[in-house]
Amino acid sequence: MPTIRWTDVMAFLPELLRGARYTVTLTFVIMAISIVAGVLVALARMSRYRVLRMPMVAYVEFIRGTPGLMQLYYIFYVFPFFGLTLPAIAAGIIGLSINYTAYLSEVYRAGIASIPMAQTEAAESLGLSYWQSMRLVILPQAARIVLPPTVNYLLSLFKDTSLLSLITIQELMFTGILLGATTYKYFTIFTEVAILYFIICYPWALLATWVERRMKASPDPTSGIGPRRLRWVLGPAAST
Amino acid sequence: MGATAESPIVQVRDVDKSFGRLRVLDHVTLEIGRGEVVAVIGPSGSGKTTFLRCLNRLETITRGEIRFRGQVMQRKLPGEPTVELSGEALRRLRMDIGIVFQQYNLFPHLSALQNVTLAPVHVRKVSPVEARTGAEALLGKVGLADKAEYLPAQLSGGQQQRVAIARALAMDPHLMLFDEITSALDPEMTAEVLEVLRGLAGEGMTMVVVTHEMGFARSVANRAVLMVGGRIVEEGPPDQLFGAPRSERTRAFLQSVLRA
Repeated sequence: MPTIRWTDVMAFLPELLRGARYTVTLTFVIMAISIVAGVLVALARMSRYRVLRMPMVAYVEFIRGTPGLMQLYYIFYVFPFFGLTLPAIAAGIIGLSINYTAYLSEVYRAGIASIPMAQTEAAESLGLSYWQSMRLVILPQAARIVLPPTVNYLLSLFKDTSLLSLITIQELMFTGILLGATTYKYFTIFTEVAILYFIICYPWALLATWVERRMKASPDPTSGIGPRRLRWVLGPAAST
Repeated sequence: MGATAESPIVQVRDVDKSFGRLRVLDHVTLEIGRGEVVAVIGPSGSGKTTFLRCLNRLETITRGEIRFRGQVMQRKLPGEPTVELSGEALRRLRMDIGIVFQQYNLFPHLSALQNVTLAPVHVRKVSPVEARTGAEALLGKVGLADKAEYLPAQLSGGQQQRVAIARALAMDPHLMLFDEITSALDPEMTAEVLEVLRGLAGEGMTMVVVTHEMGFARSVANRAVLMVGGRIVEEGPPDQLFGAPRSERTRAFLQSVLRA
């Protein structure tokens, strides 16, 4: 039975924390890109124009039908053959963003589709443009519905950034692998890595549960308890 | 009324509308003059709502022409250039046409006041302060001055519908369309909403009112239009249409309504 020595724990900690910080930063950057891009992809996929709709369907289905790791490898190892050599960090951010955008866009598409057509009609009858209707009327209502699944995706992204270790990005997982390769103290190191991941993720898991419970307490998005909660969760929306 | 020196505010010429193979409007022709209050009545499924929705292009017509203040909004006629306003041109036109829906369709995430100020601020580019002042005045006018900060779900149906009217009025429209706006309301709330409409008519607002409220149609409208099966069967002053209907269809409809 191997043992864990406190001095080892403390010795590895600074470097692992550096890796953890990188993991958190990468997660937020990728998530921010994916949320914005996800909304745009969702809108394009719901467009009345085929030229916008069709490529997005192909994109989303392709991404959902292939492993994320393969997508990362493709960008990092295959693109250079076509003259596109990206630094690992760029390849990693692009790869995971492309992946998460596809999944989030499906969530957002469902969320937007759940807002009654009558809301769009009311907005456009007042002279609001398509984008104004979206920004001021539809998306604020859809945001409430997609908030819980979005927090869940954020949570899984924290862990999925470990895939980036395989294209040499020194996030938490790769830092652990490197330390293990030089010291062979895998038990100590990966226990620490596991605990650090858990410490990062658990608050978000709690938040996800909390948000979901809040939302469930208000069954109908048009019932008013809902929107009031949304304002309470997200801050006042589209105020004049 | 109706025949003023000015050109009509709405001109509907020979309009057909089909959903697939179902013909909902059948050669509808109608002119609405400035300040006129036109009540559109008829049995369920007669095309009243579709007709109203064509007037601000929530529906596209299959054939015919619709003009608003002289400008062609939609036209699909053989031998004449087809017009299908969209984008900016359609938007500009819709700014001047207010519509109130049966189900209110208020924005549930915004307060009553924000519902009213949204379009003036973002479409007319009125300053937020000015929009607020205007919205407060309008909410006062529909009797809801004290509900400005309430969310739609915290209001009764009649109150929501009055907010919806204020929301449409905030754009200072030249024409107001009302689509069975009291159908979802109980009698008491219906009365408070109709009171607002009566006031508007008194101020000279041009209105097209699709309604089941025969009493209201008779007492407030300048003109009543009876639609059956997508056609205008009879139109005329309410007293004549209700009191001395010329067509058999009108008599049959009125009888069925009165019996109900």
